[in-house]
Amino acid sequence: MEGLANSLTKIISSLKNLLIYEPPSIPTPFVLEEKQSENESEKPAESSALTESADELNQLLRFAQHLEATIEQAKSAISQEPTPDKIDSILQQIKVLEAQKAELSPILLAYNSGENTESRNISASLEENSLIIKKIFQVSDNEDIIIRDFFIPTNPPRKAMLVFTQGLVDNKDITSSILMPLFAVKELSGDILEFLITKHLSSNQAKQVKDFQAIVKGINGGDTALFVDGANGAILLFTKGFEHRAIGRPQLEQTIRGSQSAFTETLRTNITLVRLTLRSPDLVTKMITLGKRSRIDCAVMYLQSVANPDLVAEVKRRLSNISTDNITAGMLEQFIEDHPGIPFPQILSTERPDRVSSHLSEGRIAVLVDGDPFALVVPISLFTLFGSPEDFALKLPSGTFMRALRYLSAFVAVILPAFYLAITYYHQEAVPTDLILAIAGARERIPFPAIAEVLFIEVSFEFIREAGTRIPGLLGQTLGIVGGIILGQAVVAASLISPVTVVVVAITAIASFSIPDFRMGMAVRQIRFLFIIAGATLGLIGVASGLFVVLGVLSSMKSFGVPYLSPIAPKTTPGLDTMVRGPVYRQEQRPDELNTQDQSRQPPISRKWEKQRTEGGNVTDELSTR
Amino acid sequence: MSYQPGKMGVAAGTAIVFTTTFTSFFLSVWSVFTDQAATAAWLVPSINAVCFLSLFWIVLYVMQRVPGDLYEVAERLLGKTGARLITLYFITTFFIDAVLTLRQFAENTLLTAIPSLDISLVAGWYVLIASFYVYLGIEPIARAAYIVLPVGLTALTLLLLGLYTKFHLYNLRPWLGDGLGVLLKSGVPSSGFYLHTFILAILAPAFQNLRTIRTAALLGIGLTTIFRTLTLIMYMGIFSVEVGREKVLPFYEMARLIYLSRYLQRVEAFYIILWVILGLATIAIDLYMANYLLTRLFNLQSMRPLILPLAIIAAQLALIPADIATAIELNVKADTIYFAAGVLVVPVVLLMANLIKGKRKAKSCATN
Repeated sequence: MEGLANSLTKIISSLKNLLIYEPPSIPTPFVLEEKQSENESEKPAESSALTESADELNQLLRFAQHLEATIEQAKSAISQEPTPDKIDSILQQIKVLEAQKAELSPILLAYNSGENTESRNISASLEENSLIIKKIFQVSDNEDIIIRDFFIPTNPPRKAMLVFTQGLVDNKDITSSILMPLFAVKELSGDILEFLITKHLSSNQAKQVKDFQAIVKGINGGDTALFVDGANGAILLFTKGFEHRAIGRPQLEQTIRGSQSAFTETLRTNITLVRLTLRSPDLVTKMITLGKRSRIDCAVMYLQSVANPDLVAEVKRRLSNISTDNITAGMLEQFIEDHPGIPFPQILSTERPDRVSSHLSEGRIAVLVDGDPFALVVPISLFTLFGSPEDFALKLPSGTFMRALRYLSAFVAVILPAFYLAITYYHQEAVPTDLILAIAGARERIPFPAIAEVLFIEVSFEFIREAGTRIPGLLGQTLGIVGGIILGQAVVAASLISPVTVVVVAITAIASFSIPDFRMGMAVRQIRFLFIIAGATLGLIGVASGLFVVLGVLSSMKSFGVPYLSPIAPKTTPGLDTMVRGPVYRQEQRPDELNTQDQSRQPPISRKWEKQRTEGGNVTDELSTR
Repeated sequence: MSYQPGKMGVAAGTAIVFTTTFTSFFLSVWSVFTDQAATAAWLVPSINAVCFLSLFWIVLYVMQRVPGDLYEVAERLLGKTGARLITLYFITTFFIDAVLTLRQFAENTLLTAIPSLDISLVAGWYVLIASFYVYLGIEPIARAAYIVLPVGLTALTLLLLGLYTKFHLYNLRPWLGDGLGVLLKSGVPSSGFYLHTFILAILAPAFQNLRTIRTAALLGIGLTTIFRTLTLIMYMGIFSVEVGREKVLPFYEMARLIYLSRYLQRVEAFYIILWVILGLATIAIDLYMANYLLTRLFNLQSMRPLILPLAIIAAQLALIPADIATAIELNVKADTIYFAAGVLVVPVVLLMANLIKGKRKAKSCATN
């Protein structure tokens, strides 16, 4: 009986092992738990009263220790025969201690302890400065920050320290223009920092700073900070030498004619590229720092004698009043534009310096962000987004033709599928009989309604488009082509989708790619789905309602105070650069809606050679001979 | 105050006037004119224009001497009560026009586009979109109307040109119809169709000066008159008076007749886009003006809370007429009696008040 029971138990357990699935044991995935504490505004320990008192006491203690050491040295020097070197050394230490003493008044100590570390002024004590730098940059954890201690070989030697961020600096520059000159210094007199800047340091840019905020900004930007014991300041030296991408060709705004250079991630390079294409002394660059933690530099560029001062002030006001941790150019757009919830872009984003220059000369303002190869241009209108960089490189008929094509393609991209659905569902009489019979014949075996077909194939194309963008290199392009062809062919062969629907959606997709601005294309693709639903539900009534609503939204939008549909609505003085691309030699006025300080761009007769006659090799002015 | 009308110019003013005065031509008003004035119906728009402009010029003359918009002018000349009565009158005119236009366009939709839809859904849809525009303000409405204006005019011109093969000039004989008396009897009261031009005077602060208003009124009414005249000539030339007076949707019937080839025929479906947009714009402008004047009348801080309730009331009232014939009849009566009364009476009253006040001032100066 026992044997039978054991066998049964074994059979049951082996059956259990066979039938019941046990998942393999894997470590639990990381989940970012929510904080336990409800009080989110707790201050860090640094600012607690006890920590502040501890900081003050530590500072006093270190001063006392230095004082004690100096007194011991003086005592031993007096007891023995003091040499001039020793006396100089002791005197130097006393001077340093005296300079430090001024920072140790109780009120100043208490103020400094309560203040944010970065806001503090630089101390005369190198040790204090070193401690503060280590605290600010978390040097114990942060291995990017290099602190190089050394002695300036004066008599007596003077302690000094270099602080820089590895990877941002040119190491050879530090060695050749900072360390080597300093190692050649024999004496220091007067204002130490001023003396070093004017007489010894060969770096092409050097400035004195008094507070840690400037130090932090400089070090984070690739400068090197030089601290000298006994000097209550520091020197920031230009040593930027980080690796960056070379100037390449534009990726998204390719042209056949025109410049082939594009912005890079380096702000200074981008500013330079703009200056090279617009060599005006009026071109102003104002730097603003963005982001509390990211502290990204951004440059606001404009032509001072052209741009409307109110517009400049507004741009600066919006940029200066952004409060956020981290920011990039793409995010910056959403922080400063008037209608962030509406998909239509209100800021032009371009990677071409020539385009930025042409807009600057019209009176617009460019914002360049460090780390982003796209410049933002404000204000714009809807028609700006349909301009291509090579519009002005082509002649009048070609430029106008291309522009008309783009407007038509945008209209087709929005309307065509909805139109097709409206006609097939509600207004068959509008289509010639042969065509409607062909459409009906093609749709005869399709089990789905037309709207399901259209939505299915539209969504599939969106999948292919997105997948093609995410997959890198040639594989992405291949996937797009093969996926589109194979998918289209397969669904038609399987009688899931009619060929007419595939044609309609394919034309729509190609039309949407003709829109020069990527974000405008995105907006068009989004509203197309609304139009499809409206067209399928209410026919041409739905299409008309949709058009009217979109028109209303566009009419109510503004870009930095400029109506989005200007110069058409509201009607302003036309600049021959809206629907039709007028001759370049007739574009005498800047865009009226920008209200620039100087409206005139060129004189009425800009092709002056036409008014000149050549007589026997001499050029004479036709007007003067009359 | 959140109901400031913003800034507009000649283009926006012209678009507002043209949109509100021409849109009725997508409805049944042609048949009414044809019925009333017979073969001389094509002269009725011109009579309307002359009659109206001469009265509107009186209003502008008064506004030249008394600064401000129509409400302020009326307040100065007629006192608060007079101004309020005039404002109340205009509120009712705009509201009635919104309601009747809404009903007729909803009926149009069922007759020409989607017969299976419920009329309350259509009316609700239209009033929702119009409310959206009212929420945006008069500036976007005017800009949208201005953008649609050239497209609409081109479409109308193409329509008229496309029907040239069916036009018979002798359908217009006798040229004066049933006589000058009948013509004037039809033309003068129907100048109420141009009542919406008073919008320019009501929103006067939005325009730079009186010259802008004058130019916008002239251009808007001029365009409307030209196209009304041409379309009536075409209509009667194609259908003749006997057939023309019976059509419920004259524009639709005309568009249906276009046949240029096998592939270019039955284009009335494409004109749906045009009349829907213009109809929505008209309803939006009417609702906006009713909202605006109500806010002004009761000195409210904002007009936004009124938008949805007024829209709902308009949609409900639009469903009251039993059928389209009743709606058309009400529309004609409203235009030729109620609106015409305003067109004729308001300018005269303001002028008289201005003259009387001017005399009193002169007298008191002389006495002093």
